[in-house]
Amino acid sequence: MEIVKEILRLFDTRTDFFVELVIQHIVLSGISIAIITVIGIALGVLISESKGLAAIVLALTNFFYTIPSIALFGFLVAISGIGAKSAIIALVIYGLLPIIRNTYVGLVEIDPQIIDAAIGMGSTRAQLLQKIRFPLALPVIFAGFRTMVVMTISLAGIASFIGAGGLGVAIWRGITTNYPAMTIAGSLLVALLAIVTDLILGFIEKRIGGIYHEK
Amino acid sequence: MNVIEFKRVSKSYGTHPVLDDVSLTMSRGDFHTLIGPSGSGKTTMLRLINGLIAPDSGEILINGKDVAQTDLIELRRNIGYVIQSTGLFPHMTVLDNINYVPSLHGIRRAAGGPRALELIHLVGMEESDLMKYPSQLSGGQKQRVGVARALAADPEIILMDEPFGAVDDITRRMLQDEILEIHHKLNKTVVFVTHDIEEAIKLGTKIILLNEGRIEQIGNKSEITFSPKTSFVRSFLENKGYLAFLTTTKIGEVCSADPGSENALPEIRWDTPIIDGIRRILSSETDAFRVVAADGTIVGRFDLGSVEHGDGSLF
Repeated sequence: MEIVKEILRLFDTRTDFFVELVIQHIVLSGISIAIITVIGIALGVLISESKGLAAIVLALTNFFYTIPSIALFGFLVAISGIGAKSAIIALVIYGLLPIIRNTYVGLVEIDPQIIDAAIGMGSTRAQLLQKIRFPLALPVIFAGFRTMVVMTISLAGIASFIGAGGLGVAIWRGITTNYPAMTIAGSLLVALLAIVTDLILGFIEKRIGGIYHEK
Repeated sequence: MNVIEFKRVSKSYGTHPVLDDVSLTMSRGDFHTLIGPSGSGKTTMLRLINGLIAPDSGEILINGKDVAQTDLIELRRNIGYVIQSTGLFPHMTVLDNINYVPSLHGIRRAAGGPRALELIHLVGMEESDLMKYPSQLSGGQKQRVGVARALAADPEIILMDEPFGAVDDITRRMLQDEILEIHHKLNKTVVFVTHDIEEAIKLGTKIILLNEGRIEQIGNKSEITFSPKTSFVRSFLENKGYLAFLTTTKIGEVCSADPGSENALPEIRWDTPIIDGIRRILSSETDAFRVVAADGTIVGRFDLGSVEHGDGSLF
């Protein structure tokens, strides 16, 4: 119980410090999430047009996914230096897999009869994507988006190791100064951020998915 | 007037020929049913018409223009296309489904509304159904929406690929009656693929019988039923064709126009299926009937001989 009191006292006395870290954390994850979403969906759409390309891109993103995060951060420091830039690059590389894969799967697994009807009725390629394929794939794409967002928020906790700021700073400081309450306080906030975001996205996901699916 | 013409069309998938040197013409206002065993090339013919596939050789002309030289997007928007129920877009309301082709031209939902309402009534559904999603409809209703959607841009040609294949028998008969009525009303050129002999004979004013990528016979239902050209046609139809002819043909379509002079003949309505007339003759009730129209006027005479050698249609 002593530690809980200590954590609460920390939040009370160092409010400004934590608020700043939370903001940094949100900005860092937010920028990464925006970049991942744009690149991921674009790549997902692109590879849904070509099986050969899909195999290569998916294998490559799978490979990135298996690199230990600490190793990737360390590796990027050597290339793009210390700071937010390296952190965002690393977060983007990790986050791409779920969104590319879900976009791809969502687009290619649409009932071929529906596609056939849409083409047979005179849709152009762009209209087919915009009016039929993308809306039908949206629930699957959104599920990938949700996974990616939660993952990115959690992973951004490690970004402070290469000087990118965020809640990892509190965790890191707690570890190096042997101050467990500080470590736990930072971790709690990361977890809280991830959980709240997940709940909101889960609510939205349900609303998107509801009308689409056949009984 | 020929709306659709196939000129020596061949198509194969890999080494397997699906259509082999097919030539035929389809004229305006006819209801063409394409029938044959699986793999006989029915669906291939349909998909050649709206350019979903291209022939290996030969050409397909629509209103005299080669499909290969036509803007396919524009062509398809002017041809109605109905497939089995899965062809409805599940993420769109019935209204948006019906308004799909107009929306491709940039006509918005609000502007397409009156047309959609007209069509939903034409296919026997309610205004309130317009706001439903396909998942909220029964199988038969989905097919009706499919038909309404195909009619939205008022196309001259309508292609239907086994549209009633996935519904139960009773619903299918109802849908068949309705599509016949719509055809009478709108006089579109229809090309309808089916593997159901009864359906082909009931609906088709021209029945096209295919086997292994070749046309075995083209004709109206009495030609197909009573004058099979090849042994394949005979064996494919067997008694089913005959039975379908008897159940789907009305007495008014085959009776002789001369009512004859016998006074004591019982009367029969001209829209009675032939088979009911025959049943009553065979049960020795009478040898012949005096055929009357809905309003009671005498229009002809029907006996067993009429079935095959009728003077022609009163309809």
